[in-house]
Amino acid sequence: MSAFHDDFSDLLGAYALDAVDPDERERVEIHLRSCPWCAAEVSEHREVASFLSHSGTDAPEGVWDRIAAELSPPAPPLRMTFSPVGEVDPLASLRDQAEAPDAPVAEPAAGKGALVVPLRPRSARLRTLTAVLAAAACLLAAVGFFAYGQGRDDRPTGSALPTTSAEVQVSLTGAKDMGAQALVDSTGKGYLVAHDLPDAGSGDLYQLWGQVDGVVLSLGTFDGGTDVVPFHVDPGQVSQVQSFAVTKEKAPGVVASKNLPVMAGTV
Amino acid sequence: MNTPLGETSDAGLVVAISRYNQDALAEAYRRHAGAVFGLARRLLAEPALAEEIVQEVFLRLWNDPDKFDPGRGSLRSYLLAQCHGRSVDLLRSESSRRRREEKNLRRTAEAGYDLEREVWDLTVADHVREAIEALPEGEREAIRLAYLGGHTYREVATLLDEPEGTVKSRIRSGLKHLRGELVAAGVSFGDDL
Repeated sequence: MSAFHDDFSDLLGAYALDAVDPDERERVEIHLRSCPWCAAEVSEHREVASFLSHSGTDAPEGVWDRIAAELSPPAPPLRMTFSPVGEVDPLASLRDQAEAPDAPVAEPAAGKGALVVPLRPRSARLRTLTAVLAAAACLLAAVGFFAYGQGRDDRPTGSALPTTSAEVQVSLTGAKDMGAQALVDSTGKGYLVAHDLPDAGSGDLYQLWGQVDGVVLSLGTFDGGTDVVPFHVDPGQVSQVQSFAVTKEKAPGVVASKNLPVMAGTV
Repeated sequence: MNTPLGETSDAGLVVAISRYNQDALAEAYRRHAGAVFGLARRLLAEPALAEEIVQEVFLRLWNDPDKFDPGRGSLRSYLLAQCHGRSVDLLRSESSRRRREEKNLRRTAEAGYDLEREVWDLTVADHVREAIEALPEGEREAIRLAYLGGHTYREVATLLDEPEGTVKSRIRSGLKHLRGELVAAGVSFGDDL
């Protein structure tokens, strides 16, 4: 801890209570980005403050209706956009991710690589998952894992299987002979058919992610041993499905993953 | 994996919200909107403005669910921090400054107003009340004026006729003392449903 750090410590209580001037707030926020100790202390102060403000009030009537009205018509199924701008080094995204989480990330386009830059990213963590998913796909392709499963009997098992022909069929492959098939029909109904997926471990689960038109979105969570995982894709976006990935996460799952996929596959 | 939303943890609700599950947002609203509204109304005194804050806070959760980090605290404290920040911004806007000053004059004259009265709806309310009572007077007043009065520490220093550095330190040490008292009383932090 430095003198620079100490300059901010006394402000942390006031900052956590929104009791600092705008210029001080800005300075503290810049400091918090690079100081996990101070960030943790602010979180602790806010947690304490939350105990001071419970006033036993009922939720206001009518406000939920106004909120719900803002949510409809149906929310967009995707949350980020990307713009292709050039060629890619297949390993660059992993290096970029390790060195600068906020840097532009690499992503494989259909058939050829393309460097992509998030135009209006929602968060660094979503960008990280995009990078991870893209990098995993690149790496898996580079070592020939995509051939895995092509000759296997991939007939899904279980009761909730697609009854119409699949518009999209993707083989997901990973280490330790892990594999799965993702199928999406023209109505957007999708199923991940997994093969002998091992138990995720105590307190862990698997999370399925889809990349559609450059955007990564969580499609659901499931346990090891699950044969068929249903999910849904916006019917208007089925033709834009690019890839799927599965990560292992702590229950109940995450909004955006920081983990490498245990398996992934591209269209 | 199909846990009913009513039994889903707050962190699980936010994951579902990130998948555009409106029922999950409704459940989060059912759990926490009362506390958010209570804080906004306490700060702004105008129910209509407080309702706008509630609407804004939950729409922000819908639009930016990844801003909530369960590793950094509970969903309730996150929503209340959002509510407090937005309410204070409104409170400090030029248009409301005069109204606020008038309101503060009335509050000063109100008998029995104190920080302890703000806490009463939790099973841990007794512990919280005792922890607040155990605070040195200077720390309690500094936190009350900053958090529930919406004042900056500089304004608090003026109101209490104390040096700014003293008030700044008292807010921080008071929050640490509160946390210590609550932990000693068995109150756990960072929990959600």
